[in-house]
Amino acid sequence: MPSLKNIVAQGRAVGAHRPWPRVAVTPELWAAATDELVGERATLLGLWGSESGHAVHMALIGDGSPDIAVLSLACPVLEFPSVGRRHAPAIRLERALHSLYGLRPVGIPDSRPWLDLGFWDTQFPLGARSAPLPQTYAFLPVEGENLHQIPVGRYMRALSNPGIFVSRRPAKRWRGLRSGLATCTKESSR
Amino acid sequence: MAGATLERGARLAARTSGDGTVAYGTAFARAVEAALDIEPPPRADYLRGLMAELERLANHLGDIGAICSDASFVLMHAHCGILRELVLRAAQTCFGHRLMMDRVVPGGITTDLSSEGVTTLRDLLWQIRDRFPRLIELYDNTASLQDRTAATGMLDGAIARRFGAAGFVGRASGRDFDARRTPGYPPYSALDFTVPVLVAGDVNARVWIRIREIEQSLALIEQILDRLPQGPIAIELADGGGEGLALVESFRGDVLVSLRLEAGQIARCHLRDPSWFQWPLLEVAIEGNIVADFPLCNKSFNCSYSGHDS
Repeated sequence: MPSLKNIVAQGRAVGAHRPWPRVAVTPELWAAATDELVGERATLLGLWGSESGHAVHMALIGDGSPDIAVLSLACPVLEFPSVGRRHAPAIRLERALHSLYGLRPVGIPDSRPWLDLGFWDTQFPLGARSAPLPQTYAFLPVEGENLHQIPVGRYMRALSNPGIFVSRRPAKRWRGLRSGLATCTKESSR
Repeated sequence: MAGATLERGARLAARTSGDGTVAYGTAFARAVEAALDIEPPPRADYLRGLMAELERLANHLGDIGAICSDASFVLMHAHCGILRELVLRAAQTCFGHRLMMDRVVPGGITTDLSSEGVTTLRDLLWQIRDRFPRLIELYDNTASLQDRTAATGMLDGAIARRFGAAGFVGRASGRDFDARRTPGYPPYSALDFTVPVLVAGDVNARVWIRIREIEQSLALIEQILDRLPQGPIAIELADGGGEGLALVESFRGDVLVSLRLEAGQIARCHLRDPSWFQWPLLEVAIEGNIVADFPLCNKSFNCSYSGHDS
């Protein structure tokens, strides 16, 4: 089973990346790195896109080690195998990089936009740059009986953003709210 | 960020999440320095560490007070607010800005610490060490408060580990990780400190991690003042190119900065806030809790909006 070190050794080193290596990898090595995350032998530090040559980059740290590596995967057809498909912590980062670069994470379980909620003048501003398409944001369904919404509104205290708290809740306890809160934070910034 | 000068880039990075501005400034600066293969002067490293620990103190004190306030125990909030204010005023006196924004720049820092500043900080340490233990005792001995924080907002260790949950969120759920130690960076590699870890994973544990980290930060500030090297606080930067990566421990957890420089300008920069791996866990932690405990859970996580959504 390839460790992070082996994956780095098999990739093609990209020069002048310090202090840790960055290597260009094949889709197979990208999948092997995802295996490392799923197997908890490495932790995801970051996942982002870049415009030059259309690529995605993943930073990982080996479990219990100071070894960090950045893996870069070229996306010639503007898509890449989703890490979030098998490793949930990557999902939001992939949604964000899709908003910015238009690179599509293939197989991502939640493909709703993260940053571009239809208010931008330009779609994929750091990538292909195109005219925005009309879109609707699909809120996650909340299951259960006796559901209520809690309007928090603009009197939400402290120094945080004024917000409209649109989460739905069962009468007494938070339940079935997965990703509902994320929805709140998104709404609150608009 | 793309096309920006290093000066402009540093200002933008320092505003990603204002409460962690020193950590962001340091992460950006370290990434630039890595890309250019240079090192700041030792005195700059030590003063960056000093400012980062002041930032941690101010935030942790504010958070502990705010968590107690959300449990309707405003006395703790008031006392913690006073201590937080002392830290911010000391920062203003020493570095000319309460949050120490724009004090860390690529190549070093902008504001040196004077001997009067050292006296101010020693006095600050004395004040906090005099008053904070009584607040810990108050927190620990107030049953109505413990009723609210213990066994509330539980975060399971397995999911914290899978998400690489940073900072007090991870460390209160058994994840023994701190970027100051691993991979480590100056000045921490030369200083003695411990990384507190608990396994309970509730609001109470996230309070206790902050309490223990405040004690560690006080000890770190003292060590830095004792060992502060003399010399310049910044070096001139050459217009070089290259790629750099930095991982720096903010009060909230590790901040990642990746960038590519071309001819002294930023060609690309990515900043990743710890909140990316914390907000999703808040959703898990509040499940099954009463609605009235949401503010407590939320404040005990204290994730960043701006670091995550912009």
